[in-house]
Amino acid sequence: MEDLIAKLKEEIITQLNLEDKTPADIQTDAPLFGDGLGLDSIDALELIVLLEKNYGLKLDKPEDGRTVFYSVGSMAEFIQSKKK
Amino acid sequence: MQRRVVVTGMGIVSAIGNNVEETLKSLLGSESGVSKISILQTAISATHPAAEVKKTNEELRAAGHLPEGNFYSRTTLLGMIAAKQALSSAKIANVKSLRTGFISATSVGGMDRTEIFYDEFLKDNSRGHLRDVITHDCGESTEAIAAELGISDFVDTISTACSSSANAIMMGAKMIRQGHLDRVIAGGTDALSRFTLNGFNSLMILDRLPCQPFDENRRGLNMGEGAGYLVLEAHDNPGLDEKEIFGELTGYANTNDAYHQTASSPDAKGAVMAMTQAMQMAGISPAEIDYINAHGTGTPNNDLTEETAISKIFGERIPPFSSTKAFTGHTLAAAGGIEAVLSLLSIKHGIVFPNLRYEVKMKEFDFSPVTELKKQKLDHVLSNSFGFGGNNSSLLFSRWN
Amino acid sequence: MAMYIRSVSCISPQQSFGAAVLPEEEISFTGNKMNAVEPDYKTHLNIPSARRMSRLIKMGVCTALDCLKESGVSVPDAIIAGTGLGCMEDSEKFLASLITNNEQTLSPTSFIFSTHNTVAGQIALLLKCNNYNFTHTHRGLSFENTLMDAQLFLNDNPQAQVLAGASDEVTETSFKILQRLGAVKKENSADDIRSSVSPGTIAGEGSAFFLLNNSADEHALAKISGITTFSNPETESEIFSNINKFISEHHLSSDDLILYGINGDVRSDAIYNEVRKKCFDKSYAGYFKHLCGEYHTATAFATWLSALILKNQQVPGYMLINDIDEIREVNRILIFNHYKGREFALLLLEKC
Repeated sequence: MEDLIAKLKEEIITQLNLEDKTPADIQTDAPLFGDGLGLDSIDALELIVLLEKNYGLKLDKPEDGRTVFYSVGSMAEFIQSKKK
Repeated sequence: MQRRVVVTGMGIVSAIGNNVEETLKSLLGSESGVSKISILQTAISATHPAAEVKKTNEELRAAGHLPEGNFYSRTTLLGMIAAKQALSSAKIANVKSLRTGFISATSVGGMDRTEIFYDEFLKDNSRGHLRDVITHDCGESTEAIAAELGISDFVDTISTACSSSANAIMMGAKMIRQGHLDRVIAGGTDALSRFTLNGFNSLMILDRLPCQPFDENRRGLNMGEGAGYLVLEAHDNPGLDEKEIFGELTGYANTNDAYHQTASSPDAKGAVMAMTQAMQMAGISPAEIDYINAHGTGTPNNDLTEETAISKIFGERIPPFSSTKAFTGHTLAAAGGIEAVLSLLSIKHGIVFPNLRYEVKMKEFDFSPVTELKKQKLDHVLSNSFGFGGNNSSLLFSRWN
Repeated sequence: MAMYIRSVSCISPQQSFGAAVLPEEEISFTGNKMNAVEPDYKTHLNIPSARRMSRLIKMGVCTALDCLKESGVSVPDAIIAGTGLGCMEDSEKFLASLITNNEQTLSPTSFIFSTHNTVAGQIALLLKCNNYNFTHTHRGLSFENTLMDAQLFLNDNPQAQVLAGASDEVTETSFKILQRLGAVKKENSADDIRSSVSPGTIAGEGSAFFLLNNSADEHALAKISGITTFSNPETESEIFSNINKFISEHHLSSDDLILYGINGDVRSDAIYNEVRKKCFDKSYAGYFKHLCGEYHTATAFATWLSALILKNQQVPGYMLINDIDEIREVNRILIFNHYKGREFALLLLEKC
């Protein structure tokens, strides 16, 4: 799980072009949207693409993203849960 | 004292018709142009319906009486046909008899050919036919059409996403009102391309079924393609007595939502401002608006914002409104021009066109669009076009007396 | 026509950004491409959304905001932008992606930022400006039509402050295509564009924004007092007829400085020498595309140059066609330009 979280942080930085950030800047359980990293709806779409391209996982509706993308931690949990 | 601007000609090509007559017939018969993609070669044609003009490029070239052997993008072909129709319907025998301009709008120009070039170019950058890439830029279709029409006094291209051709019409009106030109053919054209189809798909706002604008369960938009042009003239031009005047452009406004690059604001600020300012310019109160031809793409976001704006402005007395995109799909930059033609047809024939496939009222509001053809004398019609980059435009057409 | 330039900002292949006077030395180029000297965006465009912006959008937004800051106006009444090719980098990225991925699972950001009105849209977003917002994309007249639109707006709104400008970028891909089209010189070209006898030009890029209003006061840098545009002239006499009409309407004289859009392409530069000989043989002659390269909106750069010349009353020697005597006073500058022999523009600026 730790490895997945570390990998996810790198991938998020690349996918969202967060030029100034390092994985250390992203807290695992802090909210990604709103106050946290300050991501917006365009980033949400990019995260959907990330999930599909890198993990083969699809979100049927953008609205499901609210829970899945709450934090890096929740994203990792979602990915893990789909592996079973 | 600025000159008044009247409309003496119209031309239109879209999924529901290759000219004004065919278009009207489809509207009266509630015949939508949305169907399975058959002309554009795309990997997602099985899952995403669209409103294509049902003619190949070769058929469009022939319909436009254009020479074989010239390389035209599909955007140019569509525009040529509609612009020539407009000129002819305005009975303009000699384009040089008055100061005449051509202002056209497009969002991706010749992208339908550029992507064909790119298929090869991407493999090896010495491949791909250059003729497919020289029609790429937005101004190319404008110049090709202006040259064909013989117009040279003023030529311009406007590209503001989905509000583009409404803005082109506005620019034309200003040039006339301020005395720089006597008449302008203004509108826009956009062909369906893999670029735009997939672009909108990446935003997850395409409907996999025929779209349902303003419906509570709407899922998104259907892409469309086409072209729509008006001939705008100064009201005091010579010879106007012998022409049919389809209406007067009494008001217009362009504002910016300044909320998000692609989404519109929940408080509908930009949309409210655009419609309000257009009415203010015309000196017309909300109570006098007889019909709104809405932007109504069918996306959750736009339709909510637009009904919010309508509710805020019109309060207790919501005028009849409908989205004709359920017929034509979203024709992107051409939408403003196409819907300007439809708005003028609604005034001419005294008909409010139905909002097809509407079933359930949006839970936020207590009103619905018009769902059946409605015969009614229309004096003032508002046409909305809202685009990416927060660009909001409204045109107000009034019966000419 | 009458509009006043209150402030300017320009990013170009020269050290133009932030310059209140024209650089003493030019950055000279050989070859066939000039890239812009871009500022450190972390300092000058330190905003979260910059992470999504391509070079074109950064150049456009940066010059627009810088120009506005210079003017003291916080929110303009209109934002009008021009571009010939728009956001090439984003368009190319999305196109490449959709082909490579066979239209599956596409990242939306480059599509969103590929629309031609992104620069104007992003400026509005950053300023929370709900006002008039247009983008003109008509080839070699994109900037001139932008100015025309600004004039129309000021006529309808005399108290307004209009932020108007134009931007274009050259990418690796678009440059490759220019090479294949024979539009640019050979890589090792060292031609002086004033006297080149080979085809092709030097590709350039840049962005320039202007704050325009009706105030002829001490803040004004220069006045824009005339624009004429025409396209696809059928004969040379049609070109001369337009120019002579402009000369007569504006009472141009030999005291004026004419800036020619010479770009070194032997196939289309001849007209500049013809016009100079027949219409302006006694006037001072300058050129500018050796400083910015050729692109659809290069006249925005020429307008920036002209505004600073008129304000500071200094004409650097590197801009003159003939290395002749010093120009002591410049009251008016006429920019005469064409793009590929298709779109022609005459743009007149005056000292305030």
